[in-house]
Amino acid sequence: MLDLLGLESLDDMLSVYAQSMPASGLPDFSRLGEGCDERTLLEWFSSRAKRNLHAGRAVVFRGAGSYDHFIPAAVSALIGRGEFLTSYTPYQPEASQGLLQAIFEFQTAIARLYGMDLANASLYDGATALAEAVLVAIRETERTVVLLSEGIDPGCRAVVSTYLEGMSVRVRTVPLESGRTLPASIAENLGPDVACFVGATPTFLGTVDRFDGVADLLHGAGALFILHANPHTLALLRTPGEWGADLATGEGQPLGLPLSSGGPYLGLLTARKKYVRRIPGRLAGLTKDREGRPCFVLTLQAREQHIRREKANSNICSNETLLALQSLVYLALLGPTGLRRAASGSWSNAHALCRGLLTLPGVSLVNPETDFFHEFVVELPVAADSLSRHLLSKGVLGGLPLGELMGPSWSRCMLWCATEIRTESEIAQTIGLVREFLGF
Amino acid sequence: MQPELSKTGESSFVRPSMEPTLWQKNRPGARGVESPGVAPESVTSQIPKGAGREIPLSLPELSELDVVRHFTRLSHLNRGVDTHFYPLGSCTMKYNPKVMDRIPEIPGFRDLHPRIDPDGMQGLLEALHTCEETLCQLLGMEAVTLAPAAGAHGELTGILVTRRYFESRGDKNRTEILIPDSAHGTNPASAAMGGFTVHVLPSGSDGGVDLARLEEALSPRTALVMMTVPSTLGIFEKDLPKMVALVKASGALLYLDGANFNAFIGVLRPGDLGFDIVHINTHKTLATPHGGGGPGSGPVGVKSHLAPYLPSPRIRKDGDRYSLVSPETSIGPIRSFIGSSLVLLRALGYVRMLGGEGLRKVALYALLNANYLRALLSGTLPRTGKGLCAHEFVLSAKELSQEGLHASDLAKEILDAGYYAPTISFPLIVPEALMIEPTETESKETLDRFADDFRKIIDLAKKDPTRLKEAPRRTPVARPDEVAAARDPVLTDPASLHIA
Repeated sequence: MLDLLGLESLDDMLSVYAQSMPASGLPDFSRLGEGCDERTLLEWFSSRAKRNLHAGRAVVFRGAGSYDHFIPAAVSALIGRGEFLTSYTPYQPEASQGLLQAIFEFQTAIARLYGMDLANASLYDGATALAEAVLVAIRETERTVVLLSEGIDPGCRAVVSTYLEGMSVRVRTVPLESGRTLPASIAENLGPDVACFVGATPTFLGTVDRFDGVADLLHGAGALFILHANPHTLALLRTPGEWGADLATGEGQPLGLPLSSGGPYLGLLTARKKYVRRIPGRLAGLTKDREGRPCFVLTLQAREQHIRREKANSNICSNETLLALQSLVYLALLGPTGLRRAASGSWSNAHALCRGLLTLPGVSLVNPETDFFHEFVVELPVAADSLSRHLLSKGVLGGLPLGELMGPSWSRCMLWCATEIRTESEIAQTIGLVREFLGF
Repeated sequence: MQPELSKTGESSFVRPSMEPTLWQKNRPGARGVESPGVAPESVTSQIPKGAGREIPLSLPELSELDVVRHFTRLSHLNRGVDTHFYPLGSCTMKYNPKVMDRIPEIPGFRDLHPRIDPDGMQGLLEALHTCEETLCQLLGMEAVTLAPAAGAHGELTGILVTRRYFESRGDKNRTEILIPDSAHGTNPASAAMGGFTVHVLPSGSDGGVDLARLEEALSPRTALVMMTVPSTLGIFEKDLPKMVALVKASGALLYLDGANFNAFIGVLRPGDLGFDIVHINTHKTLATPHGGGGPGSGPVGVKSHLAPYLPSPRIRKDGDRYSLVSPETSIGPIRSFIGSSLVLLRALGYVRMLGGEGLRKVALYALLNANYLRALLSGTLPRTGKGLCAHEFVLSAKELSQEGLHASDLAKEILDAGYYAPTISFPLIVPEALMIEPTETESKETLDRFADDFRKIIDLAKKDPTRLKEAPRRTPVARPDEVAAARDPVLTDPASLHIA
């Protein structure tokens, strides 16, 4: 190979860099070590992993954006297939039909789950999907105020603010009353400059919010209605489509993705058909080939950065396709019956846990007037973070102490979660540990 | 498996039958995997009136075996690096060691809750902090954020950091970002999302940045100059040090789109070259397979003057203890949680396994393979650029337009020859571009065979162009009607509206 190029050694390739060489010469990379074999490599990671209290070592009663659900074994077996794993974005449809069809099926599953007309091929995670949906509303209405429900995960709200950093757009928070949005609170903030209102179902605090009349209210003011919804709960709860949302987003992690130390996760974005040319991200569409055979292609690419550049709907290129496939396989394996069963298990376990905690003196439910799904907030007679540390030392990842996220007035509040995989004995044992800590 | 090219077009090949969709395969009453849970009836009665789902839950009913066969068959209709040579320029479609797939499966990482108390995630924070330090060393930067989920997300991060930096200095006039016309489309799109005006720099005659044009374009309004090194033509800018000096003198910051990091990993460091900000795509260079379009990861490295503005949370090390902090000066979070941890751990694993010398060889072999293939293909189609190339090179099929052919026609014939196709129609500055990146992991034999087949295809294109118009013949489907797909888009399965 070198002969063909008239070179003598591999190091002669360095001449390619000649004009870019820094005055200081070639840097020294010896600090990166001499490399190692596979066994040594895995040992290094395993020894770090041992210092993490993962779900196998601390029973998870914490959600707040990441949920410990059942994942069938067939999921990883299928998504690990090299034909999927080592392919690129399907630019050549003739050689990428498998992935294109999977994306099309994913779009279908997510659109049907959300009760919406269509979904895209995925965005980075729930928070960035929400931020992108807000950008759609701003572009669509050319307005400058965004209303976010207090029920949205504060972390997601912060991401929206970061995304809007470079624009002259103001964000206003619409407060919850007893864990619910009052249409009057939205109406108070409505005006000719409002691009959209974003609600959450369930809310970050777990309550089942309602949006009766909200779509009409917003549309009457020329604003868009966006809902951020946990897909796991939509097996049972009224869908964004039924509430009349224009766009709906969500974090796809509960659909077959492990907790993953926080990522990679899966951003879901769904929309009414009228916004199809406004939304960001890849879209797989059904068409026919020259010989009349049904087949799939990436479509409406004129919205995207590689065609439209600075005028594109978004800068997104790589998304989370493999994880979209993962959630599709999960949904196909569970089917409608399995997904409803899982969601019902979460509801049922969370309510059992709540009932148990409320038997403890000094423990009260926050927002008792409003139903919750699989997360709820209790107020404790002690600091929530001290209870959290205690439980962790006993092998339980308890509810999330809310002080750090929501401010000092929440320091005795804890956001609990129970999914379908928690058992009666885990719930009883955890309630026992809390009782013990509270000194009863 | 692939028949000889000379037999192309004979009717012996029968396209495999397509796989029906999940909804077309629906078998009412079939059950897949039993999920833990309870019967829905016990719960639906508790859901308050009007808050329950009333529309059908239209998911397919199938057995586990139905689902396994469905996705296995779909995989057979898809090409990846594991099955085919994939010279898709700019995408660095190399083979990644399978051991890296094991790292994200370690339960201590895979099943760790991101909102666990810091005491419960010390191992993760140590590994990610090590990843940050490692990337600092690789990039010659003083701080790295692991937060961005992909390259374009890294660009947006760098651009928002730039905005904050100038705001903190009270400089409100810098509202413009300069971007060469050969740049990836994500660059201008990210600049626009960050609220900046894009000023496009036209390329010089050699496809590089034109020094005079750059000098002319720089002004007190320039916040950032985004460059791709080596350029999307696979060429190291010959005037890079002069460009850096010009940009510095103007007071603007200099950004490196590190999409082409594979060309210089372990040899050069963007920090030494004068860049203030750089993003890399771990799914190109650092052992994350592309997964058909992600998940990837786009860490961003910066010099110390920009470190305070990096996204929150940041990982802080105090002695042996790690914690997450959110500095006041930060632009704020750009995604949920710390980052795409499972992807980043693979990147760290790759660097640890190869070491400094191994990484240097990655770059040198990437250059060697690209130059070898470039030399083998000389005389087929004209190349944009002279002399040695970097990790990829760009050919132009413009001369075939007199035969009525486009680069896309060549791509389809390349698919028939048993490969994935090169990137076509990019960079935009080259008419009928074919961008070829073989990567360091391909053997000489593969490159020889590809070059032979490519030559035959060019010969065929000149002799019998209509044959190429009919390609591909050996793929599961013929060319799709993309115009019809976009005219009246069908984005969900009509069969899903008729079940449940």
